[in-house]
Amino acid sequence: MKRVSLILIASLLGFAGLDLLAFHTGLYPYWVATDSSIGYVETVLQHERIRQKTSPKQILGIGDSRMALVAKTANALTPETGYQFGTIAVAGTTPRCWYYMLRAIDPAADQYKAIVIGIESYNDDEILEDYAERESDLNYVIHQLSLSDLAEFSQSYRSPQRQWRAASGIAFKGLVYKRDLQDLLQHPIDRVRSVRLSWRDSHIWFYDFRADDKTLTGLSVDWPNRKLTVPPGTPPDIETVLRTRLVEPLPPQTGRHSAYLKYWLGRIRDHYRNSKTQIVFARLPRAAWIRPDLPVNPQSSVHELDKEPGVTLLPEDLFNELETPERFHDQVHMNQGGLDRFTQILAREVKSRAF
Amino acid sequence: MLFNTAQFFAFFAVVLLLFYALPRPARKYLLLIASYVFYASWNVAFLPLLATITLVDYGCALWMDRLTRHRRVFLIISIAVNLGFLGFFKYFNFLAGMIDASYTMSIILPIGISFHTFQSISYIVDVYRGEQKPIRNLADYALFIAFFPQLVAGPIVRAGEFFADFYTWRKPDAEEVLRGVLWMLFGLAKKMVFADQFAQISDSYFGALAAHPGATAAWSGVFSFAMQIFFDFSGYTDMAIGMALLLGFHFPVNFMRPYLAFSITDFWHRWHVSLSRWLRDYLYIPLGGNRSGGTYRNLMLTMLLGGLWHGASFNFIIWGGYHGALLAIERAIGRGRTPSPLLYPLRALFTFVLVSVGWVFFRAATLADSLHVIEQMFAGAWNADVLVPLWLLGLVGIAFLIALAEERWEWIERLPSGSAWTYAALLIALMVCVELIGVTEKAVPFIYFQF
Repeated sequence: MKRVSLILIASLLGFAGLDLLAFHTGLYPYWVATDSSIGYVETVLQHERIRQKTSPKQILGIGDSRMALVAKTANALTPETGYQFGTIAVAGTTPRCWYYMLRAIDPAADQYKAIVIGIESYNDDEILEDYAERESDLNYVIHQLSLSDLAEFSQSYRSPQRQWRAASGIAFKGLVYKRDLQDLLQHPIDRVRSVRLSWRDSHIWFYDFRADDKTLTGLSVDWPNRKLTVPPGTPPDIETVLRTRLVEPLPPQTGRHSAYLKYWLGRIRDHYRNSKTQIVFARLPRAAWIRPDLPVNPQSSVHELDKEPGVTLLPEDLFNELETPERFHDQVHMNQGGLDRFTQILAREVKSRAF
Repeated sequence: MLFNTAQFFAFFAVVLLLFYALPRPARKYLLLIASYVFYASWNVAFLPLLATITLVDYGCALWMDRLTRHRRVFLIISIAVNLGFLGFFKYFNFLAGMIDASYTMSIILPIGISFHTFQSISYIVDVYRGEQKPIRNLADYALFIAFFPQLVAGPIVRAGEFFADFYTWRKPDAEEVLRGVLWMLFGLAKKMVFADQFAQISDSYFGALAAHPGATAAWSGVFSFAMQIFFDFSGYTDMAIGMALLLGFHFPVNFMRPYLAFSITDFWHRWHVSLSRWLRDYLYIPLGGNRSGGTYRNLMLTMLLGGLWHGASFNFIIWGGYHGALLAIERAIGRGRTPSPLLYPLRALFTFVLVSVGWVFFRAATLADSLHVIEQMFAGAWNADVLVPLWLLGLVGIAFLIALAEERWEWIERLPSGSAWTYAALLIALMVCVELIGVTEKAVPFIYFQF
């Protein structure tokens, strides 16, 4: 039986070793499709790593698709502001992802003067989706997760199934990379070509990216009657989301989202504690029209963090001028004009605060 | 609790640890409790049903042993109770629906009822025939019916086989442990790597037939289902055999590379062997078997009932009838002998095509759908709508070569007694396949769990 045990243990170790070699190193992740969640985060982080940092005064933006910092626009103002900007905002990411992304890009917490985190509200407004249970977070940051993160990351989910999926995915990363691998097997030559091209040129495409120029001009809300009028030609799916966000009743304020934000924004704060990097929260332009019944929460995550040294909350109304139909092209995203204006205001605000 | 879940593996690991930790007399009680827990994890409400069937058959067998006359009464009572439950749960709505749809009821099929019913009947018939002594200890008999590795989808084990292991139990030796682990992992890989991947294709084809017109899509869909059902069912059986082996029980082989069969007769010697054997011994031979005059009728009846055993629908009856007709034709034209090596591949390919055509009736939701698929397969246009990805075909190619090598050399059988490095390499390869190619996002139920 000793021989049997040795053979079985050796097999398990061999399997774990192969997984470690392929997926816990950069061996396979290099070939991940760059338009996938994993690949996109990797690409964005790689751009930031190779970005030429000519000034010691570096500012890094992070957030989801609504984070409106345009590095190209901000850096055009460098002669005026003295700061150089980069961004690692990725659509679909959440504060849990941001923590692991920041940890990956700035492991010693000494690369930046300030980290600007774009968030939708300073009041932890409850949202319909439960961010703590978002499974896709694992896909976004799988490459940044190590075995030492297994307990914290998996325990941050509430449902046992998701905890199990996260834990097994971190332990055996092949489980998370498998869809990508199967796609690679299906189109190996196309993949190799696209990955090579992307690693070579995508930082230029990203830097030169321009958002939509459309506007929501014509949008109006009759608040007393909860009636929404959208511009002609608005796609039905966007109209539905606009209706949900602007006139339908708000989700009940249960504190669920607040607890989540307190934990993960707190983890970001922990990473930069005792460092010279300032954590800056910017309340993003929220929508083309702002409903009057949004909650106020002085005990929200960012208000609590604001009491700590090294944390700055930019004025809540700093970007109010951008919350108009002319600055948005859909329910939550600003058009190129809005992004540029946001970036200019932000860059000058950073300068005025002299981080 | 599906075999292909972490929950089941945890359950099995606990059972295995306790089994070898407990003193020998206590082990059967552990297995019985574990089996009932396993059964209850599906639907606790059916535990009394399983207990009732167990008690009735146990009692009838004892009474038969005591009596010299009227033994047949207890045989009939036992079979009537078994078939009565099976008939009610499985066929009531089918029959009632034929009379009037309003007579149907909302009935949930108890998991594994078709399998443990056949196992019970085989026991009671064997006792009646004097081929099996009645089991005097109720717990022993209850374990035979409820033994969790094969409770829900076989293999259908005979009392003689089970109790031969049970009463002369010995700890599995090193080679058996390695073989058990290998069977389990092979089964898991068959299920998660092949069956569940092909299930996505066959489900998308049979779930939206109108969206995939043409012969290419039809053959892709049918081929996918042929692969799915083989890897699904044989994967389950392999896991059951492996688990039993680790507990010191030896189950009969249930699949012997059926898609390498050179005829339909040969196919049924290789496919779901324990069912074929049951149908032969408890239906075909009692009906008269090969005795002149009734052979074709008996073949047809056996296969029709075999089809109906799978499910209550005309599709299953047609599937059974189709195989019965093919068996009868083969018998009539004398295609039983193994062909020459030159002809073998052609015959095997032809047999695979015939079997695949049969699977259409097995898989399609309705008779109309089945006929539509058959029409598309043989009269549809050939186009580029190939549903099976190339890499999956490559995997099937590898599996085919493995099957050929196994057919020729039985190398998998001999592996546990051979080189440790080769064994470990195969185990690692299987684990990597399950990790990287297996469908792990959700646990896909085994097809035969519905029967």
